[in-house]
Amino acid sequence: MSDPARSILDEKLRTVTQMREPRPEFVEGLWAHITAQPASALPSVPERRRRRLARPAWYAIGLLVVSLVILTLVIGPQRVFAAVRELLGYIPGVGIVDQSGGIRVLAEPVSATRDGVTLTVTGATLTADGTHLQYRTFGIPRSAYPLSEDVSGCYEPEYLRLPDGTKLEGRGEMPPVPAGVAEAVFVLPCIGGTLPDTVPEDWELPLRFVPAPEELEVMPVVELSPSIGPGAETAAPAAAPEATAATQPSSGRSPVTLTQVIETSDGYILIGEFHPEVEPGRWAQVTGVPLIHDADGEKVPYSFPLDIQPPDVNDGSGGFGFAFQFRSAGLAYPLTLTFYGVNVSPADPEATAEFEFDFGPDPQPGQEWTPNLEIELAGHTLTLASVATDIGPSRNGYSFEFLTDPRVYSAAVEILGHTASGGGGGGGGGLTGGKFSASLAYERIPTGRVTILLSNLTVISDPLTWEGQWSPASPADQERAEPTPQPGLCLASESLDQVPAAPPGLFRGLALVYRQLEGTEDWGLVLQDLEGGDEQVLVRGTGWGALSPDGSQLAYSAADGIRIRDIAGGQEILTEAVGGYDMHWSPDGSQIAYIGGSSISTWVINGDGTRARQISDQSYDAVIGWSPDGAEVYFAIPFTGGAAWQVRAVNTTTLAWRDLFVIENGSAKSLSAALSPDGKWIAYRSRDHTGVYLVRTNGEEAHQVLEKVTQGISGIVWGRGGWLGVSMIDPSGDDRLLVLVQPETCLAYALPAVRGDLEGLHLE
Amino acid sequence: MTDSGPIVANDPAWTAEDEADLALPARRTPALFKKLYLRWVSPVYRYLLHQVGDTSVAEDLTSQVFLTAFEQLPRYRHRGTFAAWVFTIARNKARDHFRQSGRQVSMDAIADAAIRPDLLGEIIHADRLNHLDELIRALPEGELEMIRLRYVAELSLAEIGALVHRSEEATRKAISRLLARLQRQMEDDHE
Repeated sequence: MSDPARSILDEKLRTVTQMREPRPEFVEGLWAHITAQPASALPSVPERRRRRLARPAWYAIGLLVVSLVILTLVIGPQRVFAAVRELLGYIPGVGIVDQSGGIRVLAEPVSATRDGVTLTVTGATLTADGTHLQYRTFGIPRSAYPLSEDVSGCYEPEYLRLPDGTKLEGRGEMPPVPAGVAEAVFVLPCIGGTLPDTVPEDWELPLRFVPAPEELEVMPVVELSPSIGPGAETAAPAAAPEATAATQPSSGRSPVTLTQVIETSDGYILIGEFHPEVEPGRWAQVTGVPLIHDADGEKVPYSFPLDIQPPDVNDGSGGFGFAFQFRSAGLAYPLTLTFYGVNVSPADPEATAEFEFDFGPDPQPGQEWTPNLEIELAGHTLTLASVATDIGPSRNGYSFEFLTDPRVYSAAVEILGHTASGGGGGGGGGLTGGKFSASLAYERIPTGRVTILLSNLTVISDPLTWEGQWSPASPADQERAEPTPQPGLCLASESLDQVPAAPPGLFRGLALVYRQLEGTEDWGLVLQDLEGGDEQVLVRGTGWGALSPDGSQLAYSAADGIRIRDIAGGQEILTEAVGGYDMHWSPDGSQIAYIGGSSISTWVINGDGTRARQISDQSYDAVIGWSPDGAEVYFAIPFTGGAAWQVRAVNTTTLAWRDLFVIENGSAKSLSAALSPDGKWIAYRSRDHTGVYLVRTNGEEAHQVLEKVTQGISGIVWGRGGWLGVSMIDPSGDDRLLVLVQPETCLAYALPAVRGDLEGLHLE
Repeated sequence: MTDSGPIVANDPAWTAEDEADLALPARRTPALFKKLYLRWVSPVYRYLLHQVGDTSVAEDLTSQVFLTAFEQLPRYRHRGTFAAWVFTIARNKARDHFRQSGRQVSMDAIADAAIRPDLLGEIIHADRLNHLDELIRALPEGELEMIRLRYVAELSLAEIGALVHRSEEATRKAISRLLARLQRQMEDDHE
């Protein structure tokens, strides 16, 4: 129920915090500056790779330092409040709920269809602390939405209307429905973002709530007391997890603290806080991702549960909350959670250094100097590697790049006698390849000979490691058996390492990949021989491409539309398709299905680039592929508000369409689906992007073939012979790995010579 | 018909996830980045202006944010909302700025950068706004940041949640509690 006083306060807050909009000239000028950058310009060493290079260097340097400080701390001692154990439960897809008053659910999904638009309330979870509602819509035409950015569509939130007239408002999460109230009406005043009088409004769906079925998966959430120092006494119920004593910080507070543990069907979720101990004026900077190892030293793969929010840590120390989910099969305890980082602190707040520099009488845009000047500041050596003018529509100044000794993080730069109107910096000194930058902007750019002042040098400590250890509560949990393998699952995280490289001669053909081009900072489409060796850069700057079935032609997205190139001869045509992407060639190579148009729907064009025609009246489609006879195009249409896709097949001649089934467990917005050449199976990316599902084209026999193999699946393409090509982020996180898997037999091979996001596959 | 790419800004399905997914093709076709840029350049600028209180500095930092976002786009990983990603860059740039300059901007400077509507002509209303202004200035940084993200940058609760690693509901509750406290303070101080 709305609070008038709160609404007034809300309005006042908007008034007092209202800031000026940016100048239109600034906005346009910045865009021009951005587009003047090289496409996909990257730092010379990717940030993630810098961290990896920095860490070994740090450890090497650390050995030269007298004391390498490693703080190893326990998580705990941990205490469990038995009474609290009964209060909270975790429901996958919903989150942590208060189950003290029981859990209720929607009795059955409720749908209504009006003028071709369908609204469905698909589920509800009612607990003592809130109402979690799920609904989605389908069939909204693109024309229902404004085309202009300065026209906003409907924005009126949905609510539940109780029998006594009470309104419970919220988006997805609403206040709790009182116990004893078993019915409510879901009211959707309008479909969000739509224009008036374009689609039906004022939807009302009656909902019924019933006690949750016994089979509803609710996992107990164990609340752990905050970590306390040695010697503290707290009642320890029998379920208290073991903790391994180790060095405690002087404050007695553990930097790594577990607050909750959830035992899932196949493992655990650990929720906690990372609170590094730092002195005032300093902060901790975590470098890299936290790691979990078991007692055998094996790395434990983990994911971040999407429906659990880590605790909020906002004490200025550089700490943060965390939630890690992992499988427990085969693990040896205790587990060790390790956070890596450094402390950053001012070296000497009073220290300054000055040097002279001559910009000349008339510095020009793009002018650069490389003084390579060494400067001593607060006991450290900085090298001024380059100075460049930074002159443009909204800028009038200089940028400075410094090389540092590994201890330095940054320093402040100013030109004496000239007041900067703006400035900034970047980099992290020893954490980022030994560089940091500073930029200064002025109303009137300084010229001639000037004095430059450096101050406020900050430095990085020795590498720090914060660790915590944890074991499950009961010995039985520590001996969990290996889970029964899922039928049809070919690869999981623990088996990826065992995939052999393809023997020479097993696969002949070509892969079309999108990757960074060797020796440049550009990205583009590369045609690679599957066995390594020959590769051909086909197109720079674009990442959407598709190989014709015979591997002779490339269709790719260009700035002016879709182009088709003869790979061998180099001849190229510009097709009639405008702004298209996600191209799929028909089996005979005579047509191409793609996504295009202002409604972002499915189109088809002839292989000679003519006769572009729209075959879908929906929006935000994703092409899946062609039927083997080339008569139908399969594509997926997203539901609005729900992470689901309607799979539809359309006859490209008659435009007759049929809905096949709904994908409920795929990626919410980027399905990357592909239809097998025999027309029997659809492969698509899992919700968390770490795996691949297969499903028959009638919606049956859905199963995972790849599960949690990687941080992210980047491409899914079928080849002949039932082989499925999958590119993925490799375990290092820096590169791509291509695996060919035959789902029917679970044969799988890696193709180490092929690197990049898979866009096309031609198997001979 | 001419098209420069998907028109997504006003789509209903133009949720935070849609933005993140536009980031995926924008990685490959930089022209698509413009939609994301136009959507977020103003909120990022206002957010930074509220922090630094100086329009030139705010412009400079905003430039750095989007140049960095454009450079790093090929490495963007769809793990949260695009807003959370770009505002994380903005927060880091602001933090670097303050650390390098060794100073914090005064709230008076922020006041100078703000817009004061004609409503201030009404004495009582002006008095209450000034009082609210003072209460906001006295907030701890964490709570001030929530006000900044919600009312200056006008991020949704889900986007703020993704940025501060909280659920939308937890974010709603945190802001609601903060507003309730401000409301009580306003009422108490005017009794």
